[in-house]
This record gives sequence, structure tokens and C-alpha cells, in this order.
Amino acid sequence: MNRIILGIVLLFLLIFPVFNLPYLNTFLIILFMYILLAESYDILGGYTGYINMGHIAFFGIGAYTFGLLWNTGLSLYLSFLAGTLAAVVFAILISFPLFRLQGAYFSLAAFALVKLMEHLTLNLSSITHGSDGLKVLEGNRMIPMYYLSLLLVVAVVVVSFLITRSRFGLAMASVREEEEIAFDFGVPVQRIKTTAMVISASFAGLMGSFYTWYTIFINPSMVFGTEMALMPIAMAMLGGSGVIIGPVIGAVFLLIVEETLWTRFAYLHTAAYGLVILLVGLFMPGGLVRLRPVRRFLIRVGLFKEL
Amino acid sequence: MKRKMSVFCLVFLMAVAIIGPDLTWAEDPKEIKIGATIALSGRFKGIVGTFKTLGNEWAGLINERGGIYVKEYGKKLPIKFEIYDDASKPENARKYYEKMATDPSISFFMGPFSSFISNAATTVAGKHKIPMQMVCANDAVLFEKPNYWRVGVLVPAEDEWERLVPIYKKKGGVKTFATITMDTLHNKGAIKGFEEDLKKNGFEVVYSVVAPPPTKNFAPMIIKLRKAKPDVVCIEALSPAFTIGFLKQMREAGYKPKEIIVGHVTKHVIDALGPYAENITGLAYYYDGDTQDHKDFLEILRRSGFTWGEYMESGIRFWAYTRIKQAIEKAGTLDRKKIMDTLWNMKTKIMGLDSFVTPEGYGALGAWPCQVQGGKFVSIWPLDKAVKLHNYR
Amino acid sequence: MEIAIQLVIAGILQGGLYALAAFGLSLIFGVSNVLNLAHGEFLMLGGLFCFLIFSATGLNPFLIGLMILPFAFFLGYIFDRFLMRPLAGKKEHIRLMSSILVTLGAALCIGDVTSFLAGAEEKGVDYSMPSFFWGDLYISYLRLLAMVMIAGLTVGIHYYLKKTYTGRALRATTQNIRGAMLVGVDTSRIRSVTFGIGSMLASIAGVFYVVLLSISPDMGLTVTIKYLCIIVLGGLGSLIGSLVGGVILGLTESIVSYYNPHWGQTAAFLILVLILLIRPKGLFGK
Repeated sequence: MNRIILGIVLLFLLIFPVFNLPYLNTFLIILFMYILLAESYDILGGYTGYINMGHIAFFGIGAYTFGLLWNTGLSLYLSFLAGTLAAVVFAILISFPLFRLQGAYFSLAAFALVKLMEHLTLNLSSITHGSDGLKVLEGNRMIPMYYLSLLLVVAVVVVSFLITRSRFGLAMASVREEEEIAFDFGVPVQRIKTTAMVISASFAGLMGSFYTWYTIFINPSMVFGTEMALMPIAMAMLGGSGVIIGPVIGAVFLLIVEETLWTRFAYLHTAAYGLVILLVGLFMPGGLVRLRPVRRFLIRVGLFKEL
Repeated sequence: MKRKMSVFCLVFLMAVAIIGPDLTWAEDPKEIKIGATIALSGRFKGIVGTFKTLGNEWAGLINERGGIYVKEYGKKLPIKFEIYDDASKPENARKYYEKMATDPSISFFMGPFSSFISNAATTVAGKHKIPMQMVCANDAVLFEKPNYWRVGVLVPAEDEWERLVPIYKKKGGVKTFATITMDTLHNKGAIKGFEEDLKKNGFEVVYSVVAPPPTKNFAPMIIKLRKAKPDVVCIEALSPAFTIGFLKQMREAGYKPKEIIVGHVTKHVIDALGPYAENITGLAYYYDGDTQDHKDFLEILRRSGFTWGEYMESGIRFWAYTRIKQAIEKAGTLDRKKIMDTLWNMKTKIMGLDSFVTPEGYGALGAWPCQVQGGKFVSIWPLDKAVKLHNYR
Repeated sequence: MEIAIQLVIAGILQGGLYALAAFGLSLIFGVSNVLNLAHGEFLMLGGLFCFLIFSATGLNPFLIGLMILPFAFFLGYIFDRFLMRPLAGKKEHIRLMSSILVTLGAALCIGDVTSFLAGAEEKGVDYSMPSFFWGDLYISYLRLLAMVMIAGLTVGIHYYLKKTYTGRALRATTQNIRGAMLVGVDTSRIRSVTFGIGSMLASIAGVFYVVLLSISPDMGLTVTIKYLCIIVLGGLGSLIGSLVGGVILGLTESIVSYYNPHWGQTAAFLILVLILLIRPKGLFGK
């Protein structure tokens, strides 16, 4: 059952560019971007329970690395690879000091890192062009961009699925539930957390590279902005953190709400959008997918994989 | 199971239908539609949020006179704006321009606010070959790469302050300048051009600093400023918070320069400073005159409920609207290619001044000096009038 | 030398302003363990009402600030009563996530409604006092007032927590919520009252903000993040921590900015990250 549904959705998305609807194409690309960010955030945030408010730092680092290297004439694929690697290296570097922190301290220190990166990119203008922003060679081909982002989303969902089925996933859940007991039972806690962060960072870095390719022009406040940092997290939590399909549903739901409001109303759409987030947080703790009817439906079609 | 699946598919299709564009094809153009995004939310809202009203009031004024005459159809067509909110984000702007590009009834694009959002928008215009008249976007980064389907209305950012120097040169009394710039592409460009201009004319820049946008504590800069003792302090910042913060702290420090120039001076800066704002010199895209364009501009401002000094960028909008109107009248058609040709080649007069497009795509509109006198903006141009009206603090 | 003194003075006074705003946030976190992302909106609302009343009547802004205190308290109280209390019984992890969603949603909502009703433009109150000059040195009386106020509040609230019943109940709630419930403390009400006090402190900070700088409806999230960083630096829930954290941040910014304004902001965040690496619970955290 779940295979049929996923197959239909995937098939539909695969043939979608045939319809030649550029607006919906751009909408879907942005949607894929947010799905990926939310889902990759959730690999760390949902499964190990460390709410990483600094997830967007990986995204921004990927974006800048890609842009700078691509501008020097490196091939597109190598630049993508470099963007991903930069995010991974950064994740490894910060994981050791950062995981000494707990709970809110962890979240906020990670967030401070985002702001630190924003200021650094602004300051090191000899490398990053600072506030002038980084302009790259024009990509501007919608169809390859569409398929690449679709591929990335499929990849992150598959990886999440594989994680939930592995011992590694169980170890992550044990860290989330009782870190100290897990440590006593011989779970290599630090390594698990670092690995989770690296996986999460690699996708974000890749998506950052893609974002630069897509928007042609980036500046520090675009890729390290506060709202940009908080939205994927809100999407993951709103959809249902710790469930594979949760962040996907959260991102789809929020972006459709946003799009409907934005195109229908000129004013007060942000307020309505905020209200939706607020109401979900208030009345659906655990997210949309944990709401009883939704959950029952998802379990019946076999899409509710929780860790 | 089957039913569940069909429900699922139905929900999915409904979601697509909600956000899907209306694919109705207009056979005979009954109106001229101009598509644009404006920052109605996000960080630029305070600067351009009101220009949606301004555009609609302009369209209303034109439509009262019957609309714009299009030769091809032999009649006057009314004009209408289709405006989306880009939330001050380039990816949103791109999305909505793509949305509007699929609508064949839209014959024109107007650019969004700021160079880096325009950058995303011009890509769409170039891709779909739709003419775009840009508005508030004049930074070099936008014009590096040739793109036939967009033209600007402003002079390069570097030339924006050029009308100030002659006043000081003719009037005398000041020698040394200090510049405080917010770290954005546009502000840096404007100040760079101004400083070069000053040096060329024999003035001295004794202190020059670029500060990041969220700066709240200006005391360290003011300490240096007091040591440099400039006659003129120039503040160029896109965000009024920066300007207000700096000027309030300069007042705290008791430093009284002979002249203060504020690049983006709005009503809200003046309100926040009260009597201290008296005799602050600023720049606006308007000067006093008595052509028909001046009357039209003041009329749409009156209907929109604000003045040119409150939102100094409003003049740019008016120039862009007028250029669009004249391009359609001159081209005599709604054919996109012909309109674009006209936009590039047209040489007309707006507000009694030449309006044309340079080979790179820049326009000809620069900012004119104005001054806060008696709590109100007073336009001080042309030069003779400026020397007479302008006051030092 | 004079420059150094002037920089230190400016830094400390700026730090006082930071601390004043961070104080309420710290208090709220200490009692209800909530990262209140809407705190900046309370600050903004305090400043906005001060601006509106000032424009209409021209009264002294600090007098207006005193007048709006009860409203600020009420606002915080009902915010907690209707938005935070329903989450109180949930599991720790779920509660943290829900509280982020609720406060983020509320922040977006309040910001946008405000910008719709009052306009998105920057608003500042024109009110100044002459500074105190001593040679080349100067001290702004308004900033000094903010500093005295935050110092007074820290001491005052410290004694309030030690001596009064509500204060002790509040501390008991912070330390052990079940224990506090068992001995008959109405913990829900205590939380709401704390939220009210936090909101009051935010509105005082808002008044200083609108007088010394300017406010705009969309500033909420940005300042919240900055103040969250400050209370993390000092240790979450520690009152003296937010004062010290604010001053450290203000000083760093001020001194580094003298050499390069860009690195001033960077250094502040760098210091925060470094201190957290040395002391994972902040300077005064338990």
C-alpha cells in the first residue's frame, strides 16, 4: 500500500515538468528545498533529541563554498561535492565542543554559531565579497534543477528510512530517551551524535550548494537569516519530529498554507501564517502526523515509521 | 483501501488546484496589466510597503483620463497592476514573476525593490522575454551581465549624491567630511562615488567607516569622529534604525557638526529626532517644478496620503510609471519585443528633464537635495535656489 | 587613556541596556523552562505604546512607561494563561518543541498585526537629556538611568525572591515543580505571574529602546535571539548572569568596534561560543 502511494506521488513528480508550469515548478523547487532542510534537521533533532537551531549554518557554508569554488571555474559536480564536504568538515569540527552542551544551551549555542557565521561572511569580504553578495554564473535551467532537488529529497527520505531500520537508528533513539543510561550500556554516545550531525550536515550543505545555483546570487543575510534558520525547524516540529514522513508533511503543509495566503491576501498573511504555527503547536503537540485520525490513516497505509 | 487511496489523490490534486495558476486566456486585451512584486512584508516593508497604494492611485489617475492610447487597437486601454508580496526575499520574487510570466494578459513587469531581489526578477524577465522596467535598483552587480529585457530608471548608485557637492563648492564654509555607511551593497556604492566626487573638488574626507547593519552601539565610532572634527557628517544607511541610532548617539556625545547629510531621510527619522532634525540635508527623488508631471505626481501622492519627503523613493516609482506609459504610447502596440525596443531607445522628458537609458541599462534619474526646515522637507534645487535656501546647522 | 575609559563606559552602559531586556527572558526561562521567542515582541509592544501615547500627548516617555506597566503585566499573564499553560503537562521533549512553535507563531503573528495596524516604519521617540561632560569624557544620563534601573531590579528581585511568599514559591517552582505542588504552591499561577513580570520588564526595556534607539514591528525575533544569547552566556535562569552577560557583551562590542566596527559584532558571538565551551552551563548556570 505505502509503495503504491509513494510510487504514484513519485511518478507524478517525475513527469511533472512535462506540463510546463514554470510557476509550480519554482514552487516545487522551493518546497523540495524546505522538505530537505526539515528532514535533514530531523535526523539530528528528531532522532537524537538535540534541537539543533544552527542547522542552517551547514546550509550557508555549503552555499558559500559552492559559489566561491564554482566561480573559480571548478566543474559543477566538484563544486557540489566541495559544498557538501565543507559542511561535513564544519559539522565534525563543531560537534566535539557543541555536544558537551545540553538542552537549550546546545540549541542556542548552535544558533549563535549561525550568527557568528553570518558576521564572518560579512567581515571576510576579501574572500566572500561581504555584503556585496556572491554572484555566480547563471544556472537558470529549470528542468535539471527540478530533478536534482527531487533527487535530493528522495535521497534524504531514503536515508532517514534506512536509519530508522538500523542499529544506528536505535542507538540514536536511546540517546534521545536516556543518554546517560545508553552510555552506561556501552552505546558510543559521542560517535552516534557526531555521525548523526554529519549526515544531517551533508544534506544541508548539498542543498546550500543547490540554493546558490538556483538563486544565482546570495548574501549573508539570505543564507544565515533568522527566519531562514527557524522555518525548517518549525516545519519539522509542526509535521511531527521523529517520524520520517513528519517533516515532509510539515513542510508541504506550511508552504501550501504560505502560498495560499501570500497569493490571496496582500496584508496580514504573515499573521495568519504565524497563527497556524501557533495553533498547531498548541493543539497538536507532537505535530500533525501524531494527530489521531492522521496517525491512524498513516499507520494503515504503512507510512508511519517512528523511531 | 481503494477509497482511501482515491481520497489521498483527491486531497493532493486539490492542493495543486488551490495553488495552481488560473489558466484563462484573454483573447482581446481589455486592459494593460502590469505585474510586479513589492515588499509588503519583511525587512523592506517600512521603505516600500506603501507603494502598492501609490501604483494603484497612479493607475486610477490614468484611467480617469481614459487610460493609455494604444494605436494597434485604436483606442485607450485602462491600466491595472497585479502585485504580489515578495516578503523581501529573492526566491519569492522569482516565484511570483514566474507565476506572472505564465499569464499572457500581463504585458509588462515592474521591478521589485533593491538590487539583489531585482537580480532574481530580471532572470525571469530575460528567460520569458517580458519587458521589465526596474525601479529601485542601480547597483553595478545588476548591470555586469547584459540582459536585453530589463532597463533601469536610476543613474548608477555611485552618482546618486552628485548634486550635493556643487552646493558646498559654491557656498563655501565647509572643508572636511566624514562618512558613516551601513554595510550594504547600495550604501557602499553611493558613498564611494560621493567620496571620489569630494576629493575631485578639493574637499577632504577625514573619517570614513562602514558598519554592519545591526550595529546598536555607535559610541566607538563617535569617539573617533570627535577626534577627526569634520565639518560635515554624512550618514548613508538603507535602514532608518541605523540612522536614528547614530544621530541620537551623536547628540548624546554632544558633537555638533556644521552640517549633517542623511542619505535616506524619511519622515520617521525626523519624528524620532524632533527639533534635532532641523536643517538636516537629505536627498529625494523629487524637486519642485510646475510641469504637468509634477502636478500628476503631487496628485497621486495626495490620494495615497503621504508626501514625497516621507517616502523619498516615491519619485522613482513615478518616473518608472511614466516611462511605461510613454513607451506604450510610443510603441503603439502591446507587442513585447516592440515595447522593449522602445524602452531602450526612447528619449523623453519627465518632470521637464531628459529621460533615457544608457547602453548598460542605467536610467537618468538621480536624487535631488532637500532639507528639513520647520519640520518639513523643502526641495532645494536648482543650484542657485539651493545656495540661497540651504542652511548650515 | 581617555579613549579607553570612554569605551569602557559606553560598553558598560550599552550592556546595561542589553541586560535590562534580557532580564525578563531569564526570569521566564528560570521558572517555566520555556524559550520564549515572543519576548522581543513584548519589548516592541512596550516601545510602540510608549511611542503612540507620546505622539498623542507629549508626556514624558518614562511616565508613559510606568503607566503601561499594568497592561504589560496583564498581557504577559494572559499570554501564559492561554498559550503556555496548556502545554505545561506534556512530556519534556514535546513541551520544548510545542513551546518553540507556539512562541514562534505568536511572534510572527504579533509582529505582523502590529505592522498592519501601526505601520511598518521605524519609530523613535524624541526625548533626550543632556549628557554629563567631564573633559573629553561623556556619560549619557539616560543610559546611566537604564544601568541604575537594571542594577536596582537585580537586587530588588533577588530580595523579592528571598523574602516574600510569592518569591519563595517562585523559587520553589524553579527548583522542584512537584515538590512545590505538594506543599500547596499554585505553580500554574506562579508561572503566569512570572510571565507577567517578564513582560513588564520587557516593556520597560522597550521604553528605553524607543527613546535611545528606535523600534519597528519586525525587530522582535532579531532582538529575542540576541537576548537569548545573553542569558545563555550568563547561565539560563540566573538573574545576575543576565546582568553580567549583558555587560560582557556590551564591553566586547564597544572595545572591538573601536578598532573595527565589523569585528565588534563578531567578537560578541565569538565570546559567547568560547565561554560556553569553557563553562557548558554559562557563567552562573547551575
